[in-house]
Amino acid sequence: MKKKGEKLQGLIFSLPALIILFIFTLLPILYSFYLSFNKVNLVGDISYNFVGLGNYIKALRDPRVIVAIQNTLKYVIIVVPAQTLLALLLAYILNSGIKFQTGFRTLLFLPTLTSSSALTMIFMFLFSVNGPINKMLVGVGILNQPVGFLYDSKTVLYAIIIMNVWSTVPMFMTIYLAGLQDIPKTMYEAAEIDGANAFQRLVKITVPQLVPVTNYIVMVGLASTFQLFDQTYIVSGGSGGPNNATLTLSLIIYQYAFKTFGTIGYASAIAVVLTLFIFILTMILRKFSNENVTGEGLD
Amino acid sequence: MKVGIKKLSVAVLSLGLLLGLVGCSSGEKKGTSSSGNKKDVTLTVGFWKGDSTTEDSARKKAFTNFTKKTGIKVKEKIYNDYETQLMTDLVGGTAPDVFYVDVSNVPSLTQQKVLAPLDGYIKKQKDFDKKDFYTPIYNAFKGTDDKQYGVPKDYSTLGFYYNEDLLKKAGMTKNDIPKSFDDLEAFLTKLKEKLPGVQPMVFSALLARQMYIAQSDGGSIVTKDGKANLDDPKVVKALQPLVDLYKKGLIKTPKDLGDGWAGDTFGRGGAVISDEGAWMVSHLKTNFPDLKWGVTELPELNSKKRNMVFTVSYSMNAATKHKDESWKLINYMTHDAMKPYAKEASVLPSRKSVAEELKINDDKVMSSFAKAANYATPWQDGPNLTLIMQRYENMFPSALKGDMSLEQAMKKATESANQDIDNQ
Repeated sequence: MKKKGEKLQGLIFSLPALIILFIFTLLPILYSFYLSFNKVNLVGDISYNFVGLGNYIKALRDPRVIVAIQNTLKYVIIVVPAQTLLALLLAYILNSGIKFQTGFRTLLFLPTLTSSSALTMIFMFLFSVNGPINKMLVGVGILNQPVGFLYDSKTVLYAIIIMNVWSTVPMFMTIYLAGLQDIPKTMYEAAEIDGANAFQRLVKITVPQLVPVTNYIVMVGLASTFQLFDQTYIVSGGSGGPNNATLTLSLIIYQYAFKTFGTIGYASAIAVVLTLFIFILTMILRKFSNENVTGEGLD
Repeated sequence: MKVGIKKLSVAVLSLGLLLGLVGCSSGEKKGTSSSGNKKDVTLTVGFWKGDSTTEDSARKKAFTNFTKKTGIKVKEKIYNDYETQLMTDLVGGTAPDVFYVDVSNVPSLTQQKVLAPLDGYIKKQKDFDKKDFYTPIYNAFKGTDDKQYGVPKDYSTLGFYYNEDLLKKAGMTKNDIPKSFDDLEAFLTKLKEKLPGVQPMVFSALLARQMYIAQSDGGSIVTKDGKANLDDPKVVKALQPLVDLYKKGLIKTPKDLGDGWAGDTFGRGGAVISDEGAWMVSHLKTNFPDLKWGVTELPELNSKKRNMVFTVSYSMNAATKHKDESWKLINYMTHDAMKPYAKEASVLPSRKSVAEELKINDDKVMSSFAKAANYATPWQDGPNLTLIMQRYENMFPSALKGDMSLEQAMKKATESANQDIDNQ
């Protein structure tokens, strides 16, 4: 009797969250999946025409989608390893007991607390033609004259990469810090007694012990970098220019969904492709990563 | 058992409270929108803020006076990203009763049938004199079905803004500003020699500013069936001089100079000449009151006066529940309120009678813009202009920077625009 009451109670308590999840997460996913197989017009005369896989076939032949995939992949391939390594390095330093350790932790964590659009505006100022970075590079003599980093198709994506690594590293660093503090001191002591040097301790104890954390960071990193949107949107004003250099998958989805009439089905198809991309990559990663850090097996 | 019931009842109560709150708020909304009593009507009006604060306060005053006169309340809905937000609102059925329509969007919005035709109301409104409006501006809001879908609130054309002090420094006056585009290069070169470190001219790499140039050789940027035609050899040929000027450093974009838009570059004295619209007038007056500047008509291009005209209307949402009230607002804003609004916001009135009352033709600055209204090309060309514009603005900078030839850039822009047009 009591058990039944508790069950009901639990259900009622979780119901609000479930309703919200259903309406704002599950329903839109299912709806956009449905949209991706249709040619849809949602303004004025509302119409749904079933086109089967038409949208998907069109998407994979669309040169702009291909460019967007290339840009996104380039971004992911650079950002994910860079932010993971940097986060590990910073966490290692901040865990080593240097002076003002907590002060540094707070300072480094600050960018995470700022909204990414505000950060983008600050970075646009830093990288602008009259901005400090240009002044510095010209002053030091690396550049002869200021460069419009954000308006040149060759440099703009790299500027965004730098901005994003800088703003995401602290979050991951914090997770690594927690992971580092979880490693039992006794392991290091035992290794020291066995005669292992600092490098061996890092490679044989720290890195393997951190594998679950690294897995998590790489997966979250993959998912979030694949969804790169705000920075490219702000920098290019939503166009993905110059010369498609900042066109990412999320941006192209946004353009087709909200900028042109009658292409929301097409946008949904690209969104499903993006989801599949992230899903497959994460699955591959899971398959090849070994979370069995203690050697005793996870139950 | 008892405890269980207590907990359960708390849970049920809190859930009820939650639902109750939701219920309340939605109930409130219904009360205002579906009530038949006219005194309770609140109209939502959608618009973008514009570049100047005076425009904002002038509009607010007009709304207040409208409420005083009619008792109909006005709720403002400000769009920061007009096209995207309006489209989302239209899809969601939450679009305002009355909203700004940029002339370039008229073909696509009428094609989607989201604007209400106003002819019935215009006929009923005895004092509505459509001949008082500048004909090309008024007619720009006609659909392909010849119905009127908006009443223009104001308009603007382009002009050459010049910085008086900088011209003086270079030993020139406004009379040295060329009357023909052919002499522009020589003029700008001279400015560059005389004023090292100052940009001779700032321009914006936007299709809305270059359409009249692109079509000056007889080409057309959009085909008759609404497709992109930017790679027409005549269009490319007409745009090439612009690219050449850029490569010589005689013209630069505000972005190249580290500014958000030409208004700031020109305002801070960063450029001698700027080709901007009348919307820059109040920006300069408010933010750079000490700057000495003037405006001349654009130079002739291919021995003909050419310009662009931009205009915005108040239009009615086809799905509004308050059609009569909406019309009252549209008529008020484009009739009674036009004179004080145009005066305070420093915009050009779309009615000839108001222009006369405000003595626009005697105004040194405004008259240069007003003159062009007679021959300018409206910023409108079929339902896909926005898309074509996006692709142009994506590719044109590559041609300026020399990453590819103008021909290649325009070809790429055209292909990608047309592919999307076919997809729609």
